[in-house]
Amino acid sequence: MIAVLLLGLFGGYLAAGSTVGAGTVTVTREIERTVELRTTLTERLVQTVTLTRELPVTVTRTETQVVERREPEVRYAKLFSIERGDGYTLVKDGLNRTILLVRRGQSAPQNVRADLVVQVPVERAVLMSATHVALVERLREYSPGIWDRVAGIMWGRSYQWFFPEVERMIEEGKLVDVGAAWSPDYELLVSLRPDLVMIYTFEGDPVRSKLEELKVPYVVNSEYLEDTLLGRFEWIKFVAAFFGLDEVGAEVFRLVELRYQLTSHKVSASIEALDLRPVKVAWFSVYRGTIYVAGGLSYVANSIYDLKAVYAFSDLKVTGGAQVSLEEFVARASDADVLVVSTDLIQSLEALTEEIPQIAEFKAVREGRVYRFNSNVYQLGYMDTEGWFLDLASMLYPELFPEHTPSYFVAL
Amino acid sequence: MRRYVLPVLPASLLGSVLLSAATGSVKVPLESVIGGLLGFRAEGLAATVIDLRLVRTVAALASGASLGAAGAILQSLFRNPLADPFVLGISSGSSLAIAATLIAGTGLGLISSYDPQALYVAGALGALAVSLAVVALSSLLRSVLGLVLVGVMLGYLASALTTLLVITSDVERMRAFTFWTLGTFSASKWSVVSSVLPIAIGSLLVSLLVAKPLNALLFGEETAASMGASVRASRVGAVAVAASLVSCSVVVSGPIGFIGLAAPHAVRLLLRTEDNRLIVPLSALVGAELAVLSDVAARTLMSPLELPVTAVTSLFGAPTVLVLVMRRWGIR
Amino acid sequence: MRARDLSAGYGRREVLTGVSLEVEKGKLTLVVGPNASGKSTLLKTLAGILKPLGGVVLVDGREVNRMRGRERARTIGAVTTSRPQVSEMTVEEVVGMGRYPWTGPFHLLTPRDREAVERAMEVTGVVHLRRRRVTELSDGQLQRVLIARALAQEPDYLILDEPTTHLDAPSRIEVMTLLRDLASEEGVGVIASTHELELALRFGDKIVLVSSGTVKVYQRPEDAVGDPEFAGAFSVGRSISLSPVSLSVEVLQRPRGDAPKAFVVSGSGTGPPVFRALVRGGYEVSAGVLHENDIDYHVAVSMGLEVVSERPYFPISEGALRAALERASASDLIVFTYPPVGPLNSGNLRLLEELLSMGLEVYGIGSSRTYDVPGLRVVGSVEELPIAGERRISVAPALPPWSGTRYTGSSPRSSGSSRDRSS
Repeated sequence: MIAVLLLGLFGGYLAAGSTVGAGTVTVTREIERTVELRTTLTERLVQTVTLTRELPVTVTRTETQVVERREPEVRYAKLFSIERGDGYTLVKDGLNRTILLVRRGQSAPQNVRADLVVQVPVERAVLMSATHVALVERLREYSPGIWDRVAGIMWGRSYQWFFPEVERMIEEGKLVDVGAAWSPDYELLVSLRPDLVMIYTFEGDPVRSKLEELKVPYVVNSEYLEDTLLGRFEWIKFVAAFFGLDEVGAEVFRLVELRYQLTSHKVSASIEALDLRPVKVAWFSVYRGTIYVAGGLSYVANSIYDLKAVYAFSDLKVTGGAQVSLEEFVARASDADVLVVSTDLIQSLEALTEEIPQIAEFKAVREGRVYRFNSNVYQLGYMDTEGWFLDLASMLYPELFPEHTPSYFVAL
Repeated sequence: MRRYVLPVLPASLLGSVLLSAATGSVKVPLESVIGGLLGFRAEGLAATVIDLRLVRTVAALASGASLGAAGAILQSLFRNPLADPFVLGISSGSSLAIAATLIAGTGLGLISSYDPQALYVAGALGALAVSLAVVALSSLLRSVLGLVLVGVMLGYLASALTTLLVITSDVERMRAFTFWTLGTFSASKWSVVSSVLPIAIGSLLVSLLVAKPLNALLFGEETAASMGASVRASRVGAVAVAASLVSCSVVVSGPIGFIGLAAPHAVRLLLRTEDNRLIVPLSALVGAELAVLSDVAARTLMSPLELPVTAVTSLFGAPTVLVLVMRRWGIR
Repeated sequence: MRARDLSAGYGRREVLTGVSLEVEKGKLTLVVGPNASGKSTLLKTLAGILKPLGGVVLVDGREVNRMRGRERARTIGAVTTSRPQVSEMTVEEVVGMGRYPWTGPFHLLTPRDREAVERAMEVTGVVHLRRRRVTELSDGQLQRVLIARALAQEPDYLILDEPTTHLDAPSRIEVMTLLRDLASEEGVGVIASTHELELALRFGDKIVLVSSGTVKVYQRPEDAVGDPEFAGAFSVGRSISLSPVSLSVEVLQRPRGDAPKAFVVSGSGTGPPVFRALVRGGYEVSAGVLHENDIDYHVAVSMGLEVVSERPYFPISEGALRAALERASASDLIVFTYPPVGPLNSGNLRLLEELLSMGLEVYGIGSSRTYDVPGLRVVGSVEELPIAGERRISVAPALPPWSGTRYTGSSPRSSGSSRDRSS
């Protein structure tokens, strides 16, 4: 490019020279134009075009300037993203739809294409899942009036509440129950005139297609599909953006991330210092004789790896759960140090032994290191993700956390 | 009796349509409702709400009419008062085919979400397969109870296979699907309903043509043949029409039980007739009405929670089955 | 309608072979035969309900098997043994179903159709039942309605499988009469099967015997009676015979070797009940003297009894009397049935006189007698005869002695007293 430049200048000089030599006068005019090409997560591309008109030579000079390099805003979660623009935010939701968030009162930018435009902060949101509620509850600490911005929840009395505030608000009618998540009362929903409905969805979901037909604004929250614990919790940034609490969301997440990292550092440092044996964990649930285990790529497994422990089914390359045969289970889990039963339906060792008689001989059972989910794990355990992680660490390394009793798991 | 019944049935159907349009969690003034039915668009929220109710009502009419007519045909064909698409497992076969198509199809990217045409074809094939299985097995088991047992078996088989398919997907999907397998009008959409409606109407018209040979078959196969009826063609045709009707219903609302059972019996009771030319179309009418009323009950009984429609139809369906079985046993 | 070298059966199983017969319009053909001989199979094959395994069934030259359903239904009407499940249908609706091959896809009846239905109901005599439901009909009425249904098809031929079985006696005759009228008056070619041998022989124009895997056609019922093979098809070991005169079935007497002998003096129809009772009772029965044109003669012959006979319209000859005397005196039981006596058979009274004078006991069946013969032991009815060892005696009322025309010979006893022995 510099060579072209020099050549151009040289050529221009020659031409100019020759023209001068000829005794004519040339006028050199330079016009500079700067165009912003695009703004991405990490850089802002600016194109500067300089037009030099000097008969008969025209020199074009292009220079690319890297103006700004920023950290990507979403670092763990893989299923959504946030981009900041001048006076607007672009969010990609769980179905990769582009949602343009514009502050109330401001006009939407012209040349930005989006699937949905939402004015933030929302004033009449409707939430589909208790996990969405958990995130809002976490944000409430820093924005006490946040629930004023939520009009309804899809509950349908289909589960128990561990958020007494929320339960109270529903009882008092401040929050409207619009029916079960798989079959909401659309009339009620529509009558609330929601400006945002936060849903989770799947292929062939009739609820989503009905919302499309009704032209109700919805966004897809897929936190439960993330494969890391922090990735799951990072969706608080997603939720916060719609409530105009972007900074709060970022800060809360930073706090949780920090605590997570501290816990895992403590564990890895202690393992090294105290030369602890690696701990083996099996994470499973059983229903009517069928055994389901967390996959080796799931957030459960990744959390376990972050605590330098061994997961009994780490070779199962799935991010969700999988069914294993009794033989497989016995082969892998019988020598596990810790057993975690991922359901609250089995409430005693006797009940567990009834489902899987062989389990009585397992190492973890003999040493009394069997835990089950506490019923509040999906709501409170998610809201307090760092606490969940701490619980896990204390179950795997009780000697390192002697004062700590798990809140979201129950010892059997 | 016949004189009074014939005009009353359509009138009460209109009444139930009006009830359906006027009932819901949101209060809408009656004038707007009637206006909406006649085609005048109301204002804002009322328009949306009326539209929501309207699409459900039309879906219920289509689904219920299809089931009523199918039930009438099956009861006449199998000479069995307990024949009904749900009881015979035909609905389960249909939903199995649809589930397989949905899950496999979207997984493979063959169809995008809920494509009514593709699902209708799949559902019709599933319904046909089970119907033919029932026909084949019914010739081995001539008794009333035997046929019901065959149907229950096939129904369980189909349900088990469906569960197998669904269980490999995630919990949310399972829950939604389980709800769907008991029938619901809650997610009715105009795109689905308007695609299926012409097929349903076409099938209902064809079902009228099946009435004459079905009447002949009441006299016994040999006598029917001597009267000029082609027995095999009539049977196959009747089964095909019934399968098509069941599939229409399942695509629109998922499998709904007992409407196909109760509607023909109600017609026979009211009209005291055996003539299929009357029973088939009137069962469609009564079935449509039963479906609309069941839908209203499903969404109001435990509002805002919505009940699956079969839960409501079982309230009148299960006693009907009991009475019929007891009557048969009583005579014996 | 013609069957030519027909083989009929189900699937691979052949029930009948080599069947050739003709069903004529205007005639009633009745099919008889032992149970499970293939009558139903034959009729269903003729009607086109079953496919022939071999040979062919033709109607007016066209193969029934090849005809299209509608066309065949307009030509042949069939009434099978199955009962329709149409409990709620009215009679008019059931008969209306017969218009199936004539109506359109929705089975709407034109005035022409209604006419045919009316006619069918009139001919079968069920018009007054038109609004009744099928469940309210008696068996006989239902059968007629089902026949009306087939008639509504306006067929040239009517085929019926066992239309009279399960009906009571009067209904059977009703239906048979109807079938015969359909043939003779409506000109339909009717073929039906029946178990009632005597009805068949009386009502049928043609008889078809189905047995041993094939059929035999008799152009007149008399031909059937005269054919020993016919009776043989129904009986095991020749236990019945058919009387060609009365066209009735009689049980052949088959006395055991040491059976007691009975001799019956009767005439004009008084004998047969006694013959039959005595044969049932195990006696070897003889009769005399009977004129050859007397009904008792025919019955006795049909039953295989030994008869002492006299030529028609001749008074009983000495020779006959002597033969009768010989027989009677050798019998263990002598019975007199008090037949009407006239100049031609008053010889029987002399026979009695002779027998009594020989000291033999003569029983008289006294219940319906109109005169008395002194010296007889009168019992009230046939049952009171000493049937094979049983003795039953009852009081018989006294009656004036016979006062008929005198005959040449000895004079009858005519005294006021009757020496009845009574106890």
